[in-house]
Parts: sequence; C-alpha cells; structure tokens
Amino acid sequence: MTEIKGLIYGTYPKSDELRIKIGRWERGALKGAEIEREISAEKKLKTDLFISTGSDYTDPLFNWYDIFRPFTCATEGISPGPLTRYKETNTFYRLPEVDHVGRMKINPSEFNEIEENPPLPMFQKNSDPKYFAFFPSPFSFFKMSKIKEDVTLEKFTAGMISIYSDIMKSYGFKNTLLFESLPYQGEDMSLLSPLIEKFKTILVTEGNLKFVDFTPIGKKLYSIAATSEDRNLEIASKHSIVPGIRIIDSHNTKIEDPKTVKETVNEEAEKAGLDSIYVTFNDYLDFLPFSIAAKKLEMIKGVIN
Amino acid sequence: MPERKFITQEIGSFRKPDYLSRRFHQIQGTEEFTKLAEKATLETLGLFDQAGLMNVGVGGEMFRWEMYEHLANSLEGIEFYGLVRSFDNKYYKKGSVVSNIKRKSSFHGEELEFIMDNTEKRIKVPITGPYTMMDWSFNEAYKSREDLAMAYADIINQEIKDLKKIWGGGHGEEKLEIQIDEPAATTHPSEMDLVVDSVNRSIEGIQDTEFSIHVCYSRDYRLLYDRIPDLKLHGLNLEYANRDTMMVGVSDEARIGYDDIAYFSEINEEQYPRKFLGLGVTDVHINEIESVQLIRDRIEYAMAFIENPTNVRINPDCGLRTRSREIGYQKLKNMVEARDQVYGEY
Repeated sequence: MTEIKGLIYGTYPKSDELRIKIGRWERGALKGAEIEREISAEKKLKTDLFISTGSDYTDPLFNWYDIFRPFTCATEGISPGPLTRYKETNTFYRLPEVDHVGRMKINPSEFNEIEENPPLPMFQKNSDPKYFAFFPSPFSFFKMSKIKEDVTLEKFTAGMISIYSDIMKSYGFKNTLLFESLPYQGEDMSLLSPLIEKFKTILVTEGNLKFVDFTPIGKKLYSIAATSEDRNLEIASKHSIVPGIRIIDSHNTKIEDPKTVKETVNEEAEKAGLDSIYVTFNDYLDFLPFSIAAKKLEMIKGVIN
Repeated sequence: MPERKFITQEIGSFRKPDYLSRRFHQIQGTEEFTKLAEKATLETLGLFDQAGLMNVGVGGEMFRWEMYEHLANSLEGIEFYGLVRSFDNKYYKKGSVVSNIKRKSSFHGEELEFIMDNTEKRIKVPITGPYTMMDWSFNEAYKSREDLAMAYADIINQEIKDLKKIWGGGHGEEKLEIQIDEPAATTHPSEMDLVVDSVNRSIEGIQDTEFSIHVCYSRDYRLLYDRIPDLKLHGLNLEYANRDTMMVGVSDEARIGYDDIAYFSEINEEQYPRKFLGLGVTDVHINEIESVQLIRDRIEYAMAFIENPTNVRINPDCGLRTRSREIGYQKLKNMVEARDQVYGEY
C-alpha cells in the first residue's frame, strides 16, 4: 500500500483576532515587540494544528505580507514597488524592484522591525524533522519582479540562494521548501543546486514538467510536488524520492471528500509505481477564509495514512 | 440641450462620513440606516455640487458598503465564510456560491429613487458587473465559470430592468445611465469572450439607456480595447492617472499613463457611433492633490487622439472612498476647474 503523506506550505490565513491586532499595530496602537509576541503565539498554535494533521509543514508566515516581502524589504538592492496582482487572483503583492542582490540588511532570525512589513523573525525556531523552511523559488521571484537590466537570472538566483542558505544555517534548519508560483521557462535547474546539495529540499512546482530538465541538479530531490498535468507525477517520481501531487483546491471553499481524494491519489501512485507520495494544495491556503482553511486541514488528515 | 462636452463625473464611491461607516453593519436594514444613508447622500451631493460635478452618480454610494458585498448580500445562494486577504493586512468578504443564485430584492432601487428625488443633475448608477462578481466569488455550485458569470448576468439584467421602471419617464432630458463595474475584466486574458458575453447579457433587451463599463488597474487595457466592437456599450470609464507621472506637460514622457489612448482611438475610429472615453485624471490612491495644470495637461494629451470633446468625460480613476472626504472634494474641484479651462479650447 502506498504511504500518503500530507504537505502544508506557505502563508496561512490569520484569525480575525490577529488580523485586528495587526491592524492596530499598523495604526501605531501596538508596539513592534507586542505584535511580534502576538504573531509568535498564533504561529505556535497553528504549527501545533499542522502537526496534529500528521503532515509535513512550513511556518504559517503570519508576518509575511506577501511571499516575497521580507526579502523585498530587508535585502540590499531590493525595494518594494507598486501593488501588483498575484497571478490571476484578486490578491496583490508589492512588486520587488531589484537593482542588485546584496546581503540581508538585518539578521532575519532575530526580532527586527522593518519597513512595510510586520516585525521579524522570519520563521519560528523549529527542529521537528517534519518542518521545512519556506522560500519563494528564485526563478518565480525573478519573473515576478522588476529587474534592472544587468541583473541576470543567474546572478539573481545565486544571490537569493546564498541568502536562503545563510538563513537555513542561522536557524540550524535541515529541510527547505522552494515554492514556484509560475511555470518553468527553460531555466537551468542546476542554479538551485547549492541549496539542494546542502538541504533536504521539496520543490513545489507549477505547470507542465515535460520540458524541464532536472538532470543538471545531479541528485534526486527529496520531493517534487507537481500540479496534475499529464505525466507530471511520472517525471516527479523520476527526479525525487517522495513525489507529490497538488490536488487539493485552495482557491475554492468547497471541501473535498477525503475518500475521493484518497482514491485518486492511490490510483495515481499505483500508475506511477510509488511507495510513498505527498498530497498537497494547488496553492498556499491564504486565498481562503480562516474557517475554511481549518476544514481543509481536517480533510487532509482524512487522506493521509 | 444638455451639455455634452467634457462631462465631469464621479466613478462611484466616496468616503462615508464616520457616523455612517462606524455603524453601517450594525444598523443595516433598519430605519435608522436609511435615515443615515440618506443624510450622508445629501451631504455628499452637496459636496459634488460645490465641486461643480455635472454627473453626480448615486451620491457616492452611501447605501453600499462595498461593490462586491452589496450585491452578493442581496442574493440567495451565497454564503460568507469569512474574510480573504486582498493585500498586506487588508481583507475583503468573498462569498461562496453554494446553490443557484437568485435575487432576493432590488439592490439599487431604493438608492436610485432617493437620488432622483434629490438632484436635478445627471445620474449614473454603477452596478458591479457579472464577470467581476463571478471572478470574486468561490464557485461551489455551478459547473463552470461561464455558467456562474451568465447567472450573475441574468440577475443584473433583471435589476437594470427594475431600475428602468423606477426611472420611468425620465429625469429631465436625460436617459438612465448605467455603469457596469468590471475591475476584473482583463485579469484572465483567455476569458475576454466571457467578459463580452456576460456584460452583453446583462444589458440585453434594455432600450433607451446609456451603458458604460468601468475598468481599473488593468495590466493591459488593449485586451479591452480590442473587444470594443463586440461590447454593446456607449462608453468606457477608465483609470489612467495612477499609471501616469506627476510632471506637468503634454510630452509622451510626462503623459506615459495615457499612451495607449492612441490605440483606443484607432479602434474607436471604426465604430459608429463612437464610444466615449471617461478619462481618469486623478489618482484615488494618493493624497497629493493633482494641480489644475496637471489635469489640464492630461486632458489635452488625450484630446490629441480623441479630438471630439463630446466623446470625452472627465472622472477620477476609480471611486474616491479611498481618500478622506476633504481630499476627495479637493480632487474633484480641481478636476472640474481643469475641465472648465479646457472647455473653450475645443
């Protein structure tokens, strides 16, 4: 029987209470240290909830205004530009405007107040083997930014990977998850190798993997979690140890039937001849109301074994 | 004959006075709500009059909280499970369509009746469009996005027919003006057919009414311009100032935000009659009040392409609810003054 593992990643919706408190912090009624404490407390609660589902997971990122923001606001050479639509959603992010990629201006693992974003630390400390540190993939980051002409994808990726590695080291993390918002366009996957070589890595991918060449990475990733396009799972299984399938809808409030999801995942796993597989969401859960996200977690609990 | 050159207009919303916004949700549906919404509308109409606006819309949408929620609340078949992030720590209510949608009652009738009784000026009723309603809803019930958008279109069509009945013999010499608000119109380029079909369905079979569409913050207006021949509308009210510079002058560099009006005009030239363009000349996302000169320059730059002043309307980029009432008023006042200055030149 195939082992079905759950994966919860990315920004998670906030409770009304935390949203209101962050609103108060924005208006100056709460101090940075106070809101950081509130955020940490709610992160702890949600982390416990993620753990209770039996899934692998990332930080709920309540203090990330968007998936690029801590880097946009705290990296030398990058600054926040205008609000920009996130893909085809009705959610917006501040366009990263990249002059060059320097170092992070602060230590992201410590309390720090930065402009245009709630205070850091970026992540909670966590030594659970099921925990993965979330980072936006440099490829999507590059495509979703306004980049100065002389900053190539190679330079940008090298800079971001170096920052991510430093953060991993400063926290003592062993596992990471790179989130791809956009499909690949022929990028050289070996650019990610410096991170993948050092850390157990899940790559959450977007689009069809038919034309992606994973071989330059030189080793199998821990996981490639792919959308359900034709042959994606087969390709993911060739290049990763525990391939994943992104089939739970985080853009719809309808709660899937866990039995049906389980059957689908089992069928797919059987076709690809897999011993284990991740089941996960087609996007992070921040596109849903808080109450529905909780129900989706309850649902995933019923799928995994 | 009513004035047709450079009509100044509001797009829709204006900041509510505190006495209304603070208690809106607590008292909605009560007599007290109606009293306060009417009071706020009269005060806003007063501000619009003072600023010299020619078309006062519906007095700043004091009867509505927000463009999606107002319409969704008037329907059966929609559940609200909570807020969804728009950006940073800003959230909006996104409904879930859980069964076939049906109108419980008219959603703008009361507002229109009140406005008609309280202004002699031109009136324009903004209605959130079917495509945007669909795109901003979770769809649990309909087979496809197409089916849901068309269901919204049918509801909006019924609503406009009811508004027509209220309009009756008219308001002075003017036709009823309906502005279909479609901020989501160009967000999914592959769905432009659906935008066209659902907007057209919304206004199907309704005569003697002026229809426009309002779109804002589009990544590419060309997607919309390309469909002008297919949309059965009289005009477009669009946002431009937000993408423009604050430099005065009529050079291409200074007026970068208006550069695609040349493309609009190319397409519009083939239309008979030509569509009017409502020109967003003031940015609703900044407190800086654009000078009269800057607004003049924006109008003059656009006129180089459009030429006929009866095909140009002057408006803010979008609803001014994002600014304080004082700043909103100042922006409108400068807009009207700039319009008056260019009026004689065309």
